[in-house]
Amino acid sequence: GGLNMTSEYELNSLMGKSDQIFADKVGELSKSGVEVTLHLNGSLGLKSADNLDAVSDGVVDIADTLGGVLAGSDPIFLLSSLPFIVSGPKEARALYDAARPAYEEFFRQNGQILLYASPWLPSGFWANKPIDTVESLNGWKLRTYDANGTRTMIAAGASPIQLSWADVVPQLATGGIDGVLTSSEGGATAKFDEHLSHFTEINYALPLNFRHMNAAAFESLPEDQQKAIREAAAVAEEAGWAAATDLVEKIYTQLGGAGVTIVREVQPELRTHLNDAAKTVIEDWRGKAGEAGAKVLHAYGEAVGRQY
Amino acid sequence: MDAGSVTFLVFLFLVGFLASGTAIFVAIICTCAVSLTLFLGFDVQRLGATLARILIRSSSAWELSAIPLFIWMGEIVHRTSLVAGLFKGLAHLVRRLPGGLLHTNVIGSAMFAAVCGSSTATTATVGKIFLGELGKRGYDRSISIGSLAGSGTLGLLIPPSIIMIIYGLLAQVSIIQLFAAGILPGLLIAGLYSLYIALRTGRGSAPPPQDTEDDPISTARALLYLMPVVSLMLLVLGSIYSGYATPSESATIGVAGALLLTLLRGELTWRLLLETVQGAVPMSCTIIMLMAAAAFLSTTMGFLHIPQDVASIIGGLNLGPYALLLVLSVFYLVLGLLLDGISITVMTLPITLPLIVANGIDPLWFGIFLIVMVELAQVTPPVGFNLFVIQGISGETVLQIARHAFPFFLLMCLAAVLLAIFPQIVLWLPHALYK
Amino acid sequence: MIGNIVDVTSKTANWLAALLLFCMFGHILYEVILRNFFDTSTFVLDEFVGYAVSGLAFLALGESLRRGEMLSVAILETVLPRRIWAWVSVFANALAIFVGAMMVFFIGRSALINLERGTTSSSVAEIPQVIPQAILCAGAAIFVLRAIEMTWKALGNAVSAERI
Ligand code: NA
Ligand code: NA
Repeated sequence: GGLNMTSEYELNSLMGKSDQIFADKVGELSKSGVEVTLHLNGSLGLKSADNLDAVSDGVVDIADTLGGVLAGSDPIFLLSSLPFIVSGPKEARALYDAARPAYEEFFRQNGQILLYASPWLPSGFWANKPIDTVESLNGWKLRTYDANGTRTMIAAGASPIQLSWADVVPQLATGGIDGVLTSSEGGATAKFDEHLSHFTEINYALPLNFRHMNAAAFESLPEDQQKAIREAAAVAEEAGWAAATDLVEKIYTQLGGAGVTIVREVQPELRTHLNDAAKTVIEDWRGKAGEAGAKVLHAYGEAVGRQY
Repeated sequence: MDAGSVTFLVFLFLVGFLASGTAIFVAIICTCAVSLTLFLGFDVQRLGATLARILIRSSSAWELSAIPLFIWMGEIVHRTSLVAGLFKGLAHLVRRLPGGLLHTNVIGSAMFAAVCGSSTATTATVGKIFLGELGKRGYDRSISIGSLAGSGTLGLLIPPSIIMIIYGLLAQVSIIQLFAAGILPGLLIAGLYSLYIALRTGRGSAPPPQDTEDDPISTARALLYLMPVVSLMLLVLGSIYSGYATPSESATIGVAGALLLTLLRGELTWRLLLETVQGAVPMSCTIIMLMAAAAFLSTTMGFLHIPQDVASIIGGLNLGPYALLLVLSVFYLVLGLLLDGISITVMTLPITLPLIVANGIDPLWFGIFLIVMVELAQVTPPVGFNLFVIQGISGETVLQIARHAFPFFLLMCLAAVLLAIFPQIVLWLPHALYK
Repeated sequence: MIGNIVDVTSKTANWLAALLLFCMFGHILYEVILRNFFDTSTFVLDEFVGYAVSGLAFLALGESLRRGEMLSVAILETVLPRRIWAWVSVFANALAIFVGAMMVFFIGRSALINLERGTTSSSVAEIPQVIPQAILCAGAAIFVLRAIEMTWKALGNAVSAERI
């Protein structure tokens, strides 16, 4: 039989590649006993925000979902996009490991299973200047991608703007905005190099995408096929996390060739300033996420040797 | 069952439901329901859940707001003295051209395309303003409807364009270069239309223009008449290119400008405001529901995996570049019978784009070619959005309108051939500007 | 009597749809002004305008259907004998009831699930998802009432066509 999987990402993107690996691996490991039909580019008409219900209702069997859109159902999904709590892929993995039981529980309660999750590259500042001092942030008009980013950047003295992704490039071309908070990869895909000259590596966050499956659909499969799916998920997960480390330098080289300056060093004062700006957001999240959230954050602190 | 037979059956279901005379969006949804149940064994729960999810999602895309807002702007222009001034001015300018005011559809659409990213909104607005007026003046109905259907599609090719943004993001092609690349092909198509109108009507077959004086004063007066609407266009265009508004927001600037103009001319009343809004609502409702239903059809085709399967088959043929383009054109024309442009692009691009690149075809050029294919889909029945919109305005049936539009459909095919033979029409401007 | 209630609700809903058009106009204009002159944003533009667009479409469904402004392609009308066409019309209207009822039931179910779970949007506004979905459900319900009314009329026509 066939399983339908939806993903709003294109084949060449980090998430699209990972989805393809997963789909291919399922077919390979189950010796074509079960095939995953992958619908990329949101070609089924589903966006990340639809996926939880779509999988629950059996519209599709498997979905690739941006974590942040699930925050309206459970605040735990804002964890991976909290500002400046991870410094890179390694800490992001530690955070994921600490939170995984909570994620699994959420999907279980919704009649689903968590297959795997993988991160985006670290988000940073795309601009026409290095954003490496506190002053350079002042009044800087940038597009942010979620509520946390907006609040953090306001607190930091910048002027965040909310725009849909399709409007970002026209606004950059006409000078409607001066910059974008997104990953190096996100900017490279949308050809920001035609409009912007600098990417400042600030490691704002490494948001996660989740692949989840309808539990009834999973349990209706024979044991060996279930095993194939679990194994394929593990392979895709490792590949996804490895890509988050390996791809960074590759993208930097590519961007360098396109004339983008990568700014890796920022003033320590800026770091402190941004961490201060993020504090309210993190505290608010703690309030919302309650005991479960506090537990995860504490476990993460233990793992990386910091206090949360 | 193979992809061809399934497509054919889906097509038959659609024609059957449409023929019953039920609302088009109802017919499309019924077609999907039957297809999903019959071919994929969806039960009523899964069917209903899919329907609800897709309808909610596709009807609440904020980019759609440009459609009701531009329709509202059209209503304001249509119900005030703005429309009369526009006609007086244009009538003077085109007085020497054979075909006279019939050119207003082409000129108006090309101008409007420059401020609006969607072909549906372009057709609706221009149609609302011009179609009735042309009828009143006794112009040939077939040509005025056909040329509107054809030139309304320029909304996609002349920037800004929603579909170019989508293509650019999917194919990783510069959106700014795509915008530049669309201008000359857009003007080429507009030119072909005007030429056709002139040749077909000839001198004398069109009613005589009311204003035949030729002195500089009447020309100056004509330009003065055009001033309000031209300044409205410039306002919208300026708001986009100065960065004050995004292409999706430009419709609001258009409404604000039109309201300001009526205020300045002392025509703005509560009554006008209520009438224009009420006039814009039913058509907006119809088009948005059609788009939502079309999204559900696209989802259905996605589950059936038809576009992807056929594209893979084409990939396996190992054709040369020209043969590949020919086969792809036929493929897109057939898909275009049932699907709207954005769905066609999103579903097929992952498979067709690598073929294009492997054959040494520039993805920038292909983007424009694909958009011409999508424009063709706008005027082919049974699912053709420009046909639907014009039906809403003129009251003629989709099939009659498609017949009127057929010569313009052929001209667009001719334009596609010209683009393939002379790729420089597409590539010259973006290269001159950005390389 | 029942016909009057349907009339009043569908006209009211149509006015609400018009109001939503005003609202989206106002919101986008406000956003453009905020962004360009005050370097800030409402942060919920695409979300709220999205609700308004879908709300407009669904709330206007009933009235658009009654006024005959819902587009259709009645190619068989001129071909078929009047008696048979009258029955085809009954079928066509029944299809509208079917589609409308599917929308009411499944959009309504989604709204109820979201109410129960307390699902909100993930934006700063955290709008409970039950609100926009309940509006769409109400619009679809008015559409069903209208479709029933029109099926009833079509049935009357078909029966009287049989008698002639
Ligand atoms: Na355009
Ligand atoms: Na078509």
